[in-house]
Amino acid sequence: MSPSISATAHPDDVAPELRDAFVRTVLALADDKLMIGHRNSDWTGLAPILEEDIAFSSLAQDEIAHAAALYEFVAPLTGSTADQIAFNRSPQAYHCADITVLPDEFDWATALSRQFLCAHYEVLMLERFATSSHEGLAALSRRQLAEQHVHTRHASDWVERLGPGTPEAHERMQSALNALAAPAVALFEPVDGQDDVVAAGLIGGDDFRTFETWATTIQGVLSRSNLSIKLPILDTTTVGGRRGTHTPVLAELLDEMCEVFRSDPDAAW
Amino acid sequence: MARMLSEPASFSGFDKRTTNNGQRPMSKTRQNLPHYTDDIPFEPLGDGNPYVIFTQLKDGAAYRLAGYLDATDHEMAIVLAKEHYGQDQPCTSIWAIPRTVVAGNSDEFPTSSDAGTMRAWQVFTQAVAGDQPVSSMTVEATCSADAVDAATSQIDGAEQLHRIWVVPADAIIATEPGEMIWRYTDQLYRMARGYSKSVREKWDAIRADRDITEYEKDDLKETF
Repeated sequence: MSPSISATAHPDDVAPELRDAFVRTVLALADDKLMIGHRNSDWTGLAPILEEDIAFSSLAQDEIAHAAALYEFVAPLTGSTADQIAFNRSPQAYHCADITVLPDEFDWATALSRQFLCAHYEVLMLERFATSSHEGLAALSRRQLAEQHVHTRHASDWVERLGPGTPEAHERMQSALNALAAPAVALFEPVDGQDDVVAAGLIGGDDFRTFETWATTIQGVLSRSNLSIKLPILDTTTVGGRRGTHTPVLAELLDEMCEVFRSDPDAAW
Repeated sequence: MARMLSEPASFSGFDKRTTNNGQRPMSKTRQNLPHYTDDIPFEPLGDGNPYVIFTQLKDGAAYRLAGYLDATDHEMAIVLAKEHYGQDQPCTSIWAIPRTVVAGNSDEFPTSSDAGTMRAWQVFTQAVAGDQPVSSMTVEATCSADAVDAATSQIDGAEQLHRIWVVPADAIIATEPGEMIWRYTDQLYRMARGYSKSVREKWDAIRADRDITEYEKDDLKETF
């Protein structure tokens, strides 16, 4: 059994003027993972076939575990704890992109398309985290990458089967992708100060290259699958998830997700 | 495959108005779940193909029968087997085998005497009923009946075995080396030993509490 990997940042690891932006950068990915993990876990017992029920639940659990590890990592930089960060923030303090928050209305094509678009984005972000100058974050991200590749393969495999499937399967996948194209592009909205974090080497890569790679990858899978997606230009005047401007759905989701936590915020689990 | 997924049977015959049944649902999202009003259909659904899944727990060890699953094709069989059987316990490798190619000396997997080309067959043996079939040798034969015969003649005490299965070696779909990963979070609760460990700890705590109470009773008796 592989040993658990956990990493925590020390406040001295990051220059004071970069600390908040670094925390936001990590939280953006962690919040994405928590929200999509929460949404996907709703499918437990309801996925279209038994084996997929097991697989999708397992992957949702991974997402929440990844989020938890990233919260543990940044907690010392915020003077808070992972649980408090996960469950005790106001909606404006979450940095998730709203694609991860939207209800899927129990439409399997929507759930799967979202998982496909987000999983491929998360791989690329984890790859950038994996080349962080912060050795702890890099090691943690390398370990998460191994699991994230399982997620992308799983989602791509389903897309490749449903796209060329029956006319109904194809049509439902295509309409889910049409609806998700704009929210998916909003994954690439940077958090405030992200440029400085990148310039300091605290995460590797660059934002535009990440978008290009993501777009090429998903277009490749989709065109193999008889599907397409029209990606709009990211309009940061209308998109604000990474900066705390969310759809009201996030507050509803938090009310539900945090119900148990809020009943006793200081309980030891 | 796609028919099953695009028309999920669990979503037909639902009536959204009859939710909840007066019970407190587990999740607000699930309050909007449709609720069955018709009988659940009995017919098997979908066009998945059955696969037999074997797992290997240590490099070089035999593969043991883990169970069965339905999948649309070979690649999905491996993808789904990794999540289903690969997460029960750490595995080094998984084999998925189309159920239709398994043959043996039992009614559920009949052998065939139709001779084809000479090929390698992977042999699985089950010592007694209830044991897991495990991989053993490979034999060369032109049909599954001959492969079972060849295995029977080469295995010491073959007549004592409950069952012998043979599978064309080239029909085995295997994970790539290094493909199996054990999740880095604590998955112990998924395993029977993880569960019994935590239950035992709780029982020990309860017993210890009771012993202390008994001890205190005696103690008080002596004192007063």
